[in-house]
Amino acid sequence: MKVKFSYFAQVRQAAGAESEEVMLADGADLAAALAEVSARHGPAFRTLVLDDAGAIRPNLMVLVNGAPAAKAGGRGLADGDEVTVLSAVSGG
Amino acid sequence: MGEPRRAPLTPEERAVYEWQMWVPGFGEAAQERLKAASALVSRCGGLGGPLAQSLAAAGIGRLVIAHGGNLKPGDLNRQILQTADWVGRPRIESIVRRLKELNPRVEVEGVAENVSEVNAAALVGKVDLVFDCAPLFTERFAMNRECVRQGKPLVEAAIYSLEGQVTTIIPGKTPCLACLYPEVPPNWKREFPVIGAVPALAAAIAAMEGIKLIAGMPPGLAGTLLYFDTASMTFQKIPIARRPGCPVCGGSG
Repeated sequence: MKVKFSYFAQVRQAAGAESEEVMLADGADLAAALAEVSARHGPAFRTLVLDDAGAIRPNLMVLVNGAPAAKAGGRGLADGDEVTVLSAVSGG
Repeated sequence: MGEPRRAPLTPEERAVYEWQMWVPGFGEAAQERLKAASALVSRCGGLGGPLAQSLAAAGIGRLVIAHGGNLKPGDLNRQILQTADWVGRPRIESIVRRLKELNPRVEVEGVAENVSEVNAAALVGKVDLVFDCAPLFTERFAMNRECVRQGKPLVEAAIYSLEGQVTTIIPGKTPCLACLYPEVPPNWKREFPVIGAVPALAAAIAAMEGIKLIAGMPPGLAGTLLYFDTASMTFQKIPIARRPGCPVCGGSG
Protein backbone atom coordinates (compact mmCIF):
# COMPACT_ATOMS: atom_id res chain seq x y z
CA MET A 1 0.00 0.00 0.00
CA LYS A 2 1.09 3.57 -0.60
CA VAL A 3 1.00 6.06 2.31
CA LYS A 4 1.89 9.74 2.17
CA PHE A 5 3.90 11.16 5.07
CA SER A 6 4.16 14.88 5.82
CA TYR A 7 6.73 16.14 8.32
CA PHE A 8 6.96 19.31 10.36
CA ALA A 9 9.52 21.11 12.51
CA GLN A 10 12.47 19.03 13.69
CA VAL A 11 11.13 15.89 12.05
CA ARG A 12 11.05 17.68 8.71
CA GLN A 13 14.62 18.78 9.18
CA ALA A 14 15.72 15.24 10.05
CA ALA A 15 13.87 13.78 7.07
CA GLY A 16 15.24 16.39 4.71
CA ALA A 17 11.83 16.54 3.04
CA GLU A 18 8.42 18.10 3.66
CA SER A 19 6.62 14.99 2.48
CA GLU A 20 7.09 11.68 0.72
CA GLU A 21 5.13 8.67 -0.44
CA VAL A 22 6.20 5.33 0.99
CA MET A 23 5.25 1.80 0.03
CA LEU A 24 4.40 -0.21 3.16
CA ALA A 25 3.21 -3.71 3.95
CA ASP A 26 -0.59 -3.87 3.94
CA GLY A 27 -2.09 -3.20 7.35
CA ALA A 28 1.08 -1.81 8.93
CA ASP A 29 0.27 0.15 12.09
CA LEU A 30 1.66 3.61 12.81
CA ALA A 31 4.65 2.46 14.84
CA ALA A 32 5.64 -0.08 12.20
CA ALA A 33 5.19 2.53 9.49
CA LEU A 34 7.40 5.03 11.33
CA ALA A 35 10.03 2.33 11.88
CA GLU A 36 10.00 1.67 8.16
CA VAL A 37 10.33 5.36 7.39
CA SER A 38 13.08 5.69 10.00
CA ALA A 39 15.10 3.06 8.17
CA ARG A 40 15.12 5.40 5.16
CA HIS A 41 16.14 8.52 7.07
CA GLY A 42 18.57 7.24 9.68
CA PRO A 43 19.10 7.38 13.43
CA ALA A 44 18.52 11.14 13.93
CA PHE A 45 15.02 10.78 12.47
CA ARG A 46 14.34 7.57 14.36
CA THR A 47 15.34 9.13 17.69
CA LEU A 48 12.83 11.92 17.15
CA VAL A 49 9.89 9.65 16.38
CA LEU A 50 10.46 6.37 18.26
CA ASP A 51 11.82 5.48 21.67
CA ASP A 52 14.31 2.68 22.33
CA ALA A 53 11.49 0.15 22.56
CA GLY A 54 10.11 1.18 19.18
CA ALA A 55 7.06 3.00 20.58
CA ILE A 56 6.02 6.36 19.15
CA ARG A 57 7.34 9.16 21.35
CA PRO A 58 4.69 10.80 23.55
CA ASN A 59 5.65 14.33 22.53
CA LEU A 60 4.98 13.57 18.89
CA MET A 61 1.62 14.46 17.41
CA VAL A 62 0.53 12.10 14.66
CA LEU A 63 -2.49 12.68 12.45
CA VAL A 64 -3.99 10.22 9.98
CA ASN A 65 -6.00 11.91 7.27
CA GLY A 66 -6.02 15.10 9.34
CA ALA A 67 -7.35 13.58 12.57
CA PRO A 68 -5.29 12.81 15.70
CA ALA A 69 -4.38 9.13 15.74
CA ALA A 70 -3.78 6.73 18.60
CA LYS A 71 -0.07 6.06 18.83
CA ALA A 72 -0.58 2.49 20.00
CA GLY A 73 -3.38 0.03 19.45
CA GLY A 74 -4.90 2.04 16.63
CA ARG A 75 -6.11 0.62 13.35
CA GLY A 76 -3.68 -0.34 10.65
CA LEU A 77 -3.00 2.13 7.89
CA ALA A 78 -4.73 1.81 4.55
CA ASP A 79 -3.69 2.49 1.00
CA GLY A 80 -3.91 6.21 0.27
CA ASP A 81 -3.75 7.32 3.90
CA GLU A 82 -1.97 10.55 4.72
CA VAL A 83 0.10 10.61 7.88
CA THR A 84 1.19 13.93 9.41
CA VAL A 85 4.00 13.96 11.95
CA LEU A 86 4.40 17.07 14.15
CA SER A 87 7.05 17.44 16.80
CA ALA A 88 6.94 19.70 19.84
CA VAL A 89 8.48 23.14 19.34
CA SER A 90 9.38 25.83 21.82
CA GLY A 91 11.19 28.52 19.91
CA GLY A 92 10.38 32.10 20.40
CA MET B 1 -10.46 34.28 35.59
CA GLY B 2 -13.37 34.78 37.99
CA GLU B 3 -15.78 37.68 37.81
CA PRO B 4 -14.33 40.10 35.28
CA ARG B 5 -13.17 43.38 36.76
CA ARG B 6 -13.69 46.61 34.90
CA ALA B 7 -11.87 49.93 35.11
CA PRO B 8 -13.68 53.03 33.78
CA LEU B 9 -12.08 54.77 30.82
CA THR B 10 -11.05 58.39 30.77
CA PRO B 11 -12.14 60.57 27.81
CA GLU B 12 -8.56 60.45 26.56
CA GLU B 13 -8.56 56.63 26.67
CA ARG B 14 -11.87 56.55 24.82
CA ALA B 15 -10.25 58.56 22.05
CA VAL B 16 -7.19 56.28 21.92
CA TYR B 17 -9.11 52.99 21.86
CA GLU B 18 -12.09 54.20 19.83
CA TRP B 19 -11.32 52.16 16.73
CA GLN B 20 -11.09 48.83 18.54
CA MET B 21 -14.22 49.54 20.54
CA TRP B 22 -16.01 49.55 17.16
CA VAL B 23 -15.28 45.81 16.87
CA PRO B 24 -18.58 43.92 17.22
CA GLY B 25 -18.74 42.11 20.53
CA PHE B 26 -15.94 44.21 22.01
CA GLY B 27 -17.08 47.73 22.79
CA GLU B 28 -16.40 49.87 25.86
CA ALA B 29 -17.18 47.06 28.32
CA ALA B 30 -14.40 44.89 26.91
CA GLN B 31 -12.03 47.85 26.88
CA GLU B 32 -12.75 48.40 30.56
CA ARG B 33 -12.01 44.75 31.25
CA LEU B 34 -8.75 45.05 29.35
CA LYS B 35 -7.78 48.10 31.39
CA ALA B 36 -8.46 46.20 34.61
CA ALA B 37 -6.51 43.11 33.50
CA SER B 38 -2.92 42.02 33.94
CA ALA B 39 -0.79 39.56 31.99
CA LEU B 40 2.61 37.94 32.29
CA VAL B 41 4.72 37.52 29.17
CA SER B 42 7.42 34.90 29.70
CA ARG B 43 10.35 35.94 27.52
CA CYS B 44 9.91 38.94 25.34
CA GLY B 45 11.95 38.14 22.25
CA GLY B 46 10.75 37.23 18.77
CA LEU B 47 7.42 35.96 20.08
CA GLY B 48 6.92 37.82 23.32
CA GLY B 49 8.06 41.17 21.89
CA PRO B 50 5.35 41.63 19.27
CA LEU B 51 2.87 39.96 21.61
CA ALA B 52 3.57 42.44 24.42
CA GLN B 53 3.44 45.23 21.87
CA SER B 54 -0.05 44.14 20.76
CA LEU B 55 -1.27 43.91 24.35
CA ALA B 56 0.16 47.31 25.22
CA ALA B 57 -1.29 48.97 22.13
CA ALA B 58 -4.68 47.40 22.88
CA GLY B 59 -4.64 48.97 26.34
CA ILE B 60 -4.13 46.13 28.79
CA GLY B 61 -3.83 47.58 32.29
CA ARG B 62 -0.63 45.94 33.51
CA LEU B 63 2.10 43.84 31.93
CA VAL B 64 4.69 41.81 33.79
CA ILE B 65 7.55 40.91 31.48
CA ALA B 66 10.13 38.27 32.44
CA HIS B 67 13.23 38.28 30.29
CA GLY B 68 16.85 37.97 31.38
CA GLY B 69 20.18 38.61 29.71
CA ASN B 70 21.83 41.23 27.57
CA LEU B 71 21.06 41.93 23.92
CA LYS B 72 23.14 40.05 21.33
CA PRO B 73 23.47 40.90 17.64
CA GLY B 74 21.75 37.60 16.76
CA ASP B 75 18.59 38.74 18.59
CA LEU B 76 17.93 41.66 16.29
CA ASN B 77 16.33 39.77 13.38
CA ARG B 78 13.22 39.12 15.49
CA GLN B 79 13.29 40.90 18.85
CA ILE B 80 11.51 44.02 17.69
CA LEU B 81 11.44 45.74 21.07
CA GLN B 82 15.23 45.97 20.92
CA THR B 83 17.33 48.49 19.05
CA ALA B 84 20.69 48.18 17.30
CA ASP B 85 22.37 50.60 19.71
CA TRP B 86 21.41 48.46 22.71
CA VAL B 87 23.69 45.46 22.03
CA GLY B 88 25.40 44.32 25.24
CA ARG B 89 22.83 45.96 27.51
CA PRO B 90 19.92 44.40 29.44
CA ARG B 91 17.11 43.39 27.11
CA ILE B 92 14.48 44.07 29.76
CA GLU B 93 15.34 47.79 29.92
CA SER B 94 14.71 48.25 26.23
CA ILE B 95 11.51 46.21 26.43
CA VAL B 96 10.04 48.30 29.25
CA ARG B 97 11.12 51.57 27.71
CA ARG B 98 9.66 50.83 24.29
CA LEU B 99 6.38 49.48 25.61
CA LYS B 100 5.97 52.63 27.70
CA GLU B 101 6.78 54.77 24.65
CA LEU B 102 4.07 52.95 22.72
CA ASN B 103 1.46 53.25 25.44
CA PRO B 104 2.33 55.20 28.60
CA ARG B 105 -1.08 54.34 30.09
CA VAL B 106 0.03 50.71 30.57
CA GLU B 107 1.83 49.76 33.77
CA VAL B 108 4.87 47.68 32.80
CA GLU B 109 6.86 45.71 35.35
CA GLY B 110 10.13 44.37 34.00
CA VAL B 111 11.68 41.32 35.64
CA ALA B 112 15.28 40.80 34.54
CA GLU B 113 15.18 37.03 34.78
CA ASN B 114 13.67 34.15 32.89
CA VAL B 115 10.93 31.97 34.33
CA SER B 116 12.14 29.06 36.44
CA GLU B 117 10.89 26.62 39.05
CA VAL B 118 12.02 29.17 41.63
CA ASN B 119 10.13 32.26 40.43
CA ALA B 120 7.19 30.79 38.46
CA ALA B 121 4.74 30.78 41.39
CA ALA B 122 5.36 34.41 42.32
CA LEU B 123 5.24 35.61 38.70
CA VAL B 124 2.02 33.78 37.87
CA GLY B 125 0.53 35.02 41.15
CA LYS B 126 0.89 38.64 40.00
CA VAL B 127 -1.39 38.39 36.96
CA ASP B 128 -4.72 37.23 35.53
CA LEU B 129 -3.37 35.58 32.39
CA VAL B 130 -0.06 34.21 31.12
CA PHE B 131 1.56 34.13 27.70
CA ASP B 132 4.29 31.55 27.32
CA CYS B 133 6.89 32.50 24.74
CA ALA B 134 9.99 30.83 26.20
CA PRO B 135 12.57 28.99 24.09
CA LEU B 136 13.28 26.28 26.66
CA PHE B 137 10.89 23.45 27.46
CA THR B 138 11.99 23.57 31.11
CA GLU B 139 10.67 27.15 31.37
CA ARG B 140 7.46 26.21 29.61
CA PHE B 141 6.88 23.18 31.82
CA ALA B 142 7.46 25.26 34.98
CA MET B 143 4.98 27.87 33.76
CA ASN B 144 2.42 25.23 32.82
CA ARG B 145 2.60 23.57 36.22
CA GLU B 146 2.14 26.87 38.00
CA CYS B 147 -0.74 28.04 35.81
CA VAL B 148 -2.54 24.75 36.36
CA ARG B 149 -1.91 24.98 40.13
CA GLN B 150 -3.19 28.57 40.32
CA GLY B 151 -5.98 28.07 37.76
CA LYS B 152 -4.70 30.83 35.47
CA PRO B 153 -5.27 30.68 31.68
CA LEU B 154 -2.12 30.15 29.66
CA VAL B 155 -1.68 30.95 25.99
CA GLU B 156 1.12 28.84 24.53
CA ALA B 157 2.87 30.07 21.38
CA ALA B 158 5.91 28.43 19.84
CA ILE B 159 7.75 28.38 16.55
CA TYR B 160 10.43 26.49 14.71
CA SER B 161 11.85 27.67 11.41
CA LEU B 162 8.89 28.59 9.19
CA GLU B 163 6.30 26.88 11.39
CA GLY B 164 4.32 27.81 14.46
CA GLN B 165 1.90 26.41 17.01
CA VAL B 166 -0.55 28.18 19.32
CA THR B 167 -3.00 26.79 21.85
CA THR B 168 -5.00 28.19 24.77
CA ILE B 169 -4.89 26.29 28.04
CA ILE B 170 -7.77 26.72 30.47
CA PRO B 171 -6.83 24.73 33.59
CA GLY B 172 -9.40 22.08 34.43
CA LYS B 173 -11.08 22.35 31.05
CA THR B 174 -8.53 21.87 28.30
CA PRO B 175 -5.39 19.77 27.94
CA CYS B 176 -2.38 21.33 29.63
CA LEU B 177 1.07 21.54 28.07
CA ALA B 178 2.14 18.33 29.79
CA CYS B 179 -0.85 16.52 28.25
CA LEU B 180 0.40 17.63 24.87
CA TYR B 181 4.13 17.27 25.47
CA PRO B 182 4.95 15.07 28.47
CA GLU B 183 8.70 15.18 27.89
CA VAL B 184 11.37 17.33 26.33
CA PRO B 185 11.89 16.19 22.73
CA PRO B 186 15.14 14.30 22.23
CA ASN B 187 18.08 16.29 20.90
CA TRP B 188 16.31 19.60 21.47
CA LYS B 189 18.68 22.52 20.90
CA ARG B 190 18.53 25.90 22.59
CA GLU B 191 19.05 27.73 19.30
CA PHE B 192 16.55 27.39 16.49
CA PRO B 193 16.14 28.58 12.90
CA VAL B 194 13.83 31.60 12.66
CA ILE B 195 12.79 34.49 10.44
CA GLY B 196 11.24 37.20 12.61
CA ALA B 197 7.92 37.39 10.80
CA VAL B 198 7.09 33.81 11.84
CA PRO B 199 7.12 34.40 15.63
CA ALA B 200 5.41 37.74 14.98
CA LEU B 201 2.57 35.83 13.29
CA ALA B 202 2.30 33.37 16.18
CA ALA B 203 2.41 36.34 18.57
CA ALA B 204 -0.49 38.09 16.85
CA ILE B 205 -2.61 34.95 17.08
CA ALA B 206 -1.69 34.44 20.74
CA ALA B 207 -2.39 38.08 21.56
CA MET B 208 -5.87 37.81 20.09
CA GLU B 209 -6.57 34.69 22.13
CA GLY B 210 -5.61 36.56 25.29
CA ILE B 211 -7.48 39.73 24.41
CA LYS B 212 -10.62 37.70 23.71
CA LEU B 213 -10.28 35.82 27.01
CA ILE B 214 -10.03 39.11 28.90
CA ALA B 215 -12.87 40.65 26.91
CA GLY B 216 -15.16 37.72 27.62
CA MET B 217 -15.21 36.59 24.01
CA PRO B 218 -14.77 32.84 23.43
CA PRO B 219 -11.20 31.77 22.61
CA GLY B 220 -10.74 29.93 19.34
CA LEU B 221 -7.94 27.66 20.46
CA ALA B 222 -9.08 26.16 23.77
CA GLY B 223 -8.59 22.42 23.37
CA THR B 224 -7.27 23.05 19.89
CA LEU B 225 -3.75 23.41 18.55
CA LEU B 226 -3.40 25.82 15.67
CA TYR B 227 -0.52 24.71 13.52
CA PHE B 228 0.77 26.85 10.68
CA ASP B 229 3.48 26.49 8.08
CA THR B 230 4.47 29.70 6.31
CA ALA B 231 6.33 27.72 3.64
CA SER B 232 3.05 26.51 2.16
CA MET B 233 0.85 29.00 4.08
CA THR B 234 -1.02 26.06 5.56
CA PHE B 235 -3.11 26.73 8.68
CA GLN B 236 -4.64 23.75 10.45
CA LYS B 237 -6.64 23.45 13.66
CA ILE B 238 -5.99 20.14 15.41
CA PRO B 239 -8.25 18.97 18.26
CA ILE B 240 -6.19 17.95 21.29
CA ALA B 241 -7.24 15.79 24.21
CA ARG B 242 -6.35 15.65 27.88
CA ARG B 243 -3.93 12.88 28.73
CA PRO B 244 -5.39 10.44 31.25
CA GLY B 245 -3.21 10.42 34.35
CA CYS B 246 -1.35 13.59 33.35
CA PRO B 247 0.95 14.27 36.32
CA VAL B 248 0.31 18.03 36.08
CA CYS B 249 -3.43 18.43 35.50
CA GLY B 250 -4.73 14.95 36.20
CA GLY B 251 -6.01 14.65 32.67
CA SER B 252 -9.68 14.70 33.60
CA GLY B 253 -12.40 16.83 35.14
